[in-house]
Amino acid sequence: VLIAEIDQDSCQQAGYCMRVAPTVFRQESDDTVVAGPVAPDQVGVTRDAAQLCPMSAILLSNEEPE
Amino acid sequence: MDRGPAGEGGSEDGTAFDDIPYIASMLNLTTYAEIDEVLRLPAFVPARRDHAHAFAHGTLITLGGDSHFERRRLEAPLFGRDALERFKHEMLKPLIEESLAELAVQCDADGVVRADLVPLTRGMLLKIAAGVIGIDGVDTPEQAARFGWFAERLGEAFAGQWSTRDPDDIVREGLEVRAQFVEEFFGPSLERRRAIAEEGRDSGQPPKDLLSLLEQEMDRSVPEWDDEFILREATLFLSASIGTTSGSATHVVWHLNQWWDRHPEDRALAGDSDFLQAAIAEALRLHPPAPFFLRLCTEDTVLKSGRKIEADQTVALRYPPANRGREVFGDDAGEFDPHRTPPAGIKPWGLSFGGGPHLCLGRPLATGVGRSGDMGTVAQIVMSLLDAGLELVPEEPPVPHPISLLDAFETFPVRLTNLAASRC
Repeated sequence: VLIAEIDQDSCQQAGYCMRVAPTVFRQESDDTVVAGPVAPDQVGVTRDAAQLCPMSAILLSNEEPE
Repeated sequence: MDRGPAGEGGSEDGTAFDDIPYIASMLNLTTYAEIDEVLRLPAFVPARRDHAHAFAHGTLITLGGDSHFERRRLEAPLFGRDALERFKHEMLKPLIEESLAELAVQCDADGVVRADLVPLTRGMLLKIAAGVIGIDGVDTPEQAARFGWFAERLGEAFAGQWSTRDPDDIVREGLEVRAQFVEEFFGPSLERRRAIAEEGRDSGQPPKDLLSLLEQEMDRSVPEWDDEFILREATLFLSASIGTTSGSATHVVWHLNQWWDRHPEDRALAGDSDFLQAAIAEALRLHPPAPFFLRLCTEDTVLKSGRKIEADQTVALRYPPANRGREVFGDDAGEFDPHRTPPAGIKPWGLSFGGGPHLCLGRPLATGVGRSGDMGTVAQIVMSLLDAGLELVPEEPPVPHPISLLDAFETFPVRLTNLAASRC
């Protein structure tokens, strides 16, 4: 299972992640960007978003299914 | 007052270029908040002076909206984590060692190694740029010097909107130089990549350089995508590599030496990568690689400040005063302080890499990805030079670039005292 997290110290809200994977990444009312669960069919676009982020602010990790 | 001697550095609040003739008639934005907002708003698209068309037309830096997004998506892998590791560890580390080894056998009669930091750092970074772009034939010192000559002149042409020279002269000379560059470097490099692609020798690996990438992805049914487009994009990458990273290496050396004169206890931090990264960010904040960028407003807009900007209005975003804004960076915003902690949400280098979707594509290569201990190319080079015993030469102070609005040095004489001790 792919886990996506945003490094808030790095994020500059460039917006690429929300455009590439809008069901995973969203902007809160205070402008911070947060990541939600990554559905299996969103793994590819989530990896794309991480690569596209100009601040390298998207941290990806794998969690073994229980 | 702690200032760099070059360009905007001569003005504490970064307003040294209030009299730039062709932006004087435009709306000038000089505050961090307004510039940051404009960079994020889709209603504002990049604009440049007309004469820049021959060099910049259709390149990443001129695009807005969907076309900008698609180009970023295409080119982002060039600066992905694997690519960064390759550039920094496989290319830059040996390059630094090779460059210092060449210097070590060139000490003067007094046994001291002297160097000009401008060509030294530029030479190292240009070989990285050649790798990113896919330019071959820069291996020997003579080839590297020739490539550096082209890079400098093409950089001047691409950055013509910030030059104090006659724009027509810049275009004419730039086109002549570009034709030579195509003949000697660009053309053969592109042909080689075409041959590799046609022979299927790339074994399915993703392209590792710009020329291979564009050659592979180019849709020849689109009239704008031709060889000259690839040339313009390559020239943008070359210009950006000169304008950003090599400039910041000299600025940080200047500021650190002044800082250590007043704070000798911090000399012990010369080998601390986090301290060095912070110092580089601070130098970038005080000396943005570009004095301004232009944006065209495409629909009537009201900024959060209440300022109204009309459709078809061109605005000049002036980074130097914004990066020295006291409302953001405090009362000492005009000072160099490597221990500065910027407010939440503000990057330590301010707006020097742009903002919003236009954040500089190559920033992770220049400054690292931002995690503790991760160094960008500039920090790696500066740390190596400090290890080599870098000292300024009091009787030969650095000289600012004479014919440009860019905040850069033309020469920066230094001594490398540890090289002399170990090799001469």
